[in-house]
Amino acid sequence: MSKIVLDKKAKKLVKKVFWRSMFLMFCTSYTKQQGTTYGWTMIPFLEDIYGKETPEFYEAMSRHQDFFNTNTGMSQFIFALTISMEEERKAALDRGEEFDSDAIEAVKVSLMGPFAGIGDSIYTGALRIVATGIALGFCQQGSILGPLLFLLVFNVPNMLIRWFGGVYGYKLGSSFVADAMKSGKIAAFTKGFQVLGLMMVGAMSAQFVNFKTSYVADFGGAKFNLQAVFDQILPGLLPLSLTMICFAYLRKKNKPVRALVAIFIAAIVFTVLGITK
Amino acid sequence: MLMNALIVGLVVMLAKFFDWWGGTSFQRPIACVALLGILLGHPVEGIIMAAQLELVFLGNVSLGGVMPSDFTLGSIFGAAFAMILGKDIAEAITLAVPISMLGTMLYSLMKITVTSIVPKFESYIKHKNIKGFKRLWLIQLICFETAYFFLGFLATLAGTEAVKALLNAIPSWVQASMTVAAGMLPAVGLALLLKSLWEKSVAAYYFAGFGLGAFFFYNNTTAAKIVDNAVQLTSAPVKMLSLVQISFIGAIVAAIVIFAELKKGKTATVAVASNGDESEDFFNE
Repeated sequence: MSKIVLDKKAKKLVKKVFWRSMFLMFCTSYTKQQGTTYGWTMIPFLEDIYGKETPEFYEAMSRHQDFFNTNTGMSQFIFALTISMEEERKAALDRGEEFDSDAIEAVKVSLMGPFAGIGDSIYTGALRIVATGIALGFCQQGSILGPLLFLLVFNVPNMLIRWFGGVYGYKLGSSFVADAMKSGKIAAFTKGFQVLGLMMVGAMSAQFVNFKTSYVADFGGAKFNLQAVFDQILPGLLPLSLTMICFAYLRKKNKPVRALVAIFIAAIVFTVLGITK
Repeated sequence: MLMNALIVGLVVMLAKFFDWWGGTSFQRPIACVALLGILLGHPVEGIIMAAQLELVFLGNVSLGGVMPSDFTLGSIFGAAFAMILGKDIAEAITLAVPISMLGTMLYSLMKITVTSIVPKFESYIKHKNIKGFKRLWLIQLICFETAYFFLGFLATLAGTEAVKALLNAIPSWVQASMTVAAGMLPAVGLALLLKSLWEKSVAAYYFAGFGLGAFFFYNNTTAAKIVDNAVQLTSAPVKMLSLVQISFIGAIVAAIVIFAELKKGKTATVAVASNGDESEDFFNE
């Protein structure tokens, strides 16, 4: 991959994409999701390209407020890409050539799905879990470092991805994505994030699910401590089993609320029976 | 009370804003409840509550504009009532879960309101009125934030006494059960995460992470007393590997997997390329 150098004008543009795209989630509706704010974000760029209050500007605006939905942390690439395509379109029209605006719409529609998937696996699948994992230990000691670390570990990469998404989107164009998909680079990184995420979820199941029995049977002086038996079989056996049971249930039926309620009921039953305390 | 209500309103508003602005994850309980605790004057308690509520709602994320439960509202209100009334984490969770479900309905209502003004945006563009478009966009942003501020403010102002009566009416065995439930609930969150990450070919890494988290511990002596002229020690297991350390190992494993995958991808494309004839560019990379 060649090194990307931005001239002053491009840098200013990428900066503007970075700041304006922060608002993408506001004004999400059932009919257009982020579509309306996609249009709002494009206002100054389209004004620069087509001129203020021109018919071309309004024509472009009406195109850009159609349905749109992706991961907001990945949207900068698409914004920058569509802006560079609008610039090309304007240049082509000025030369008296044809440039079908459908091509721009097609790029948006074809990218928002895969980008939502990649973004979700990076942000909610890996980054958030790692940030939470790192912060939880500090938080449980009541240290202010916990929430601060959480926000830092999450947001430094978050902001970098947003910035460089804009840079690459503006410079590389649509062929880059197709290449990255084809060469398997994106799939490889997604898998890496998945592995990291899974390991962290595993470690958290061990350290943060707090479920042990206090059941002790007394056989005429010989004490039988149930938890000690579990610990000898496998440390963390009960938390692991509980997590696996929840997982098995949620995998079949997607009803997290029912799982929550079931746990409340189970906790009451166990406590009343004297198995836990 | 007025001050507390203002603080809760402010935190709700900020959490809702930074949830969407830049996707900063400030809406996660671990961040916004910590701020709430600091502002309400219970910093240590608030941060501990933040961690516990985060664990309960760990698996709840909004994907594709769908919000399964409004964990932000649930945890802020749960923690706020608990801290204001001097209760602890069990009560916070007991309140947070039902409130988060109510919050979802409220969110749907908000989204329906926004959906109803979408045609207005369209007509502004159609009638070439970009000023009107910008103005309406700003108005919806301000209304959205103000609505959540007043929700936090009024619910705290009006609800605290009712919540106090409710919590005091809960019998002690239920409260003991809630403490047990607080420990068990993270399993649901983790299972939800697991569902989104699980794939047979990489599932083993979950158990590797579990082993790292569970198997390395030492017994820390917490108390000693003399029974029948012999010293009897009470001890509690303490984990040796922190999650920071495990994430270090996890990153190494992830790097190994990524490089192996990239290599596999390369040999695969070379294999495909040697069969085709338009393959020159793969080698020139």
